[in-house]
Amino acid sequence: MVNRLFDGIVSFTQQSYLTYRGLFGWLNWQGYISNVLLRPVVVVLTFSLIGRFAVGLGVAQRFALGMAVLGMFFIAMNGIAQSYFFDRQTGTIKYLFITRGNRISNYLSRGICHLPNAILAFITGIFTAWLVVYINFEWFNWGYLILVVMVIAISMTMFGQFIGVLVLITNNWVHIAGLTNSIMMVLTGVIIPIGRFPGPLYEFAKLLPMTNGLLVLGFLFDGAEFSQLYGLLLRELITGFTYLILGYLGFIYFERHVRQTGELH
Amino acid sequence: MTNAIECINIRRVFTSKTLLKKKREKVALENLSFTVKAGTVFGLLGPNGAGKTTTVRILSTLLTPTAGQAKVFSFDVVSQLSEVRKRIGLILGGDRGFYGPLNGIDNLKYFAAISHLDRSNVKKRIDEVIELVGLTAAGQQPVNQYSRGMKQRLHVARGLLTDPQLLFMDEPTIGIDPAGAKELRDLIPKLVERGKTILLTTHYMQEADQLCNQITLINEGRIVAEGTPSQIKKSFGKISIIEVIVKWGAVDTVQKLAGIEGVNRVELSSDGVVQRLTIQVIAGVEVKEKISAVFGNDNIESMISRDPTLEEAYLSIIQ
Repeated sequence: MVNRLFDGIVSFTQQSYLTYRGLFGWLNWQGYISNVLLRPVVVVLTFSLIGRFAVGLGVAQRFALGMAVLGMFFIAMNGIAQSYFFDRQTGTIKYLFITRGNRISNYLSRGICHLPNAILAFITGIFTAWLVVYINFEWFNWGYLILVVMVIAISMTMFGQFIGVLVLITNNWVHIAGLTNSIMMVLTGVIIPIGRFPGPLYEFAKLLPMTNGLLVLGFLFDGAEFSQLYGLLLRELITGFTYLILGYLGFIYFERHVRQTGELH
Repeated sequence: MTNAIECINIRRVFTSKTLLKKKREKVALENLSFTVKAGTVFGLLGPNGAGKTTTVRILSTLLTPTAGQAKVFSFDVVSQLSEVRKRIGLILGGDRGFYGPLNGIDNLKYFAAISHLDRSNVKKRIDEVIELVGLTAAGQQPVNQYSRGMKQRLHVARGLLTDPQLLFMDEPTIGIDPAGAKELRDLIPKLVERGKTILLTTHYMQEADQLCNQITLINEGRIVAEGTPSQIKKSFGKISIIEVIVKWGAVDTVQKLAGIEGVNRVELSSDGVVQRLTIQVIAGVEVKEKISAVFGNDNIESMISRDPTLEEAYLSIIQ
């Protein structure tokens, strides 16, 4: 039993590492530096400056924080979406479908290596925010910050899996990724606080990942007690987990669908 | 002897929609039934689009049949996927199917991981199959730097990785140089000696003739001939062959020969000072006297009848 578990862990680790290296199109120094390190800087800088000079420092800080978090989403989602897209494009996914391997392991292995990239993108973004809009960390509880960022990063990665499976099913990365990025920018409170949304849009925004996590982060920076924010953070994690499950169901559906239709061939 | 494969009335229809959303159906396989005995090499031959690869995909659980039943070692390919997948290896070939940025060995490590190959055996097995296909020197190179032939070899390595009981080889020698192709063909009998069963699809008739114990010819999704290579050549070929060697004048007589009733085709080749004609004749039609009359008996060095080669029989059946 222990041996089987260990074998499973080794297999999962190898799948994760090898699919990451084999399918992540930005895993070269130009792609990685541009998208994981420089892009968050540029985006945070852009919105920080817009906020600072168009409205004021307070708004700019909120924009900067939102963009730093959105940077996590961008890199996790695109990395995972690429993995699924190229797995189909390169014709390797069908060789997965003739194995009797554990499909949960196959599914999860495609996302896990993108989690560190998400965290790195956040670090780059928040550092830029500290430089440009003077976000104050002096009184901040670093333990809570790390916890919240980890939860958001995990939630983003789980949502990225869902988007990845949509990309696999539709065989379309660019449009799905572009649309999702836009929706997340507009509807999760990155720019416009969700409290300003009309009723139905507000409820929809709460169903999206990142919304609740960003609220927690914003409240923390405003000095709120962490004990009042557990519920929101838990909701963030549950939201991400729900998308993870939906993504898995989509993954299983896709395998059955292509066996029936022959679409892969 | 157990059956490695049983196909009973397999039907496969592909559905698509036109721009005007009208349903369009293509029948890829119709009423396909055959069995493959364990420990043999079975050839599935046919022209492009005949349904060979569709058959392989159904048997390897990549596709479900629209109707009918297929079994691999008595396990149903639709309802007992796991048992079937435990026993099969698949070689589809082509330029795709690997992670380009990874080297050959890392690709095989990935496929070993998803196939749940015994962890203690992985390195040894990868080294074995890499050496078997002649890619030891290139194992550390990224696959996106491989030639077409090298990728094909890697496909073969992947198919053999789990040491399967049944191996589907879909045109395995395509794109490989003659020496490599010969090595691969020499490997097949060795695999059979070790108890493997092989279903081979190929366009190279000599390969099928050399390797297969049993052959089924399909065309437009239906079986048109089946049997051993000899049976197909003798019984199903609609032609017989007359080889004539003459001293001179063959070039001028090709048209005259082609005009003889019962003659399908005439091919001319030179062999030093003599000229050789290969005349395809409808089976059962007697034309030797007429051929002799065209050349004159003094001109004919030899005239022999022979059975068609598998390629000649195949062409006469398919066309």
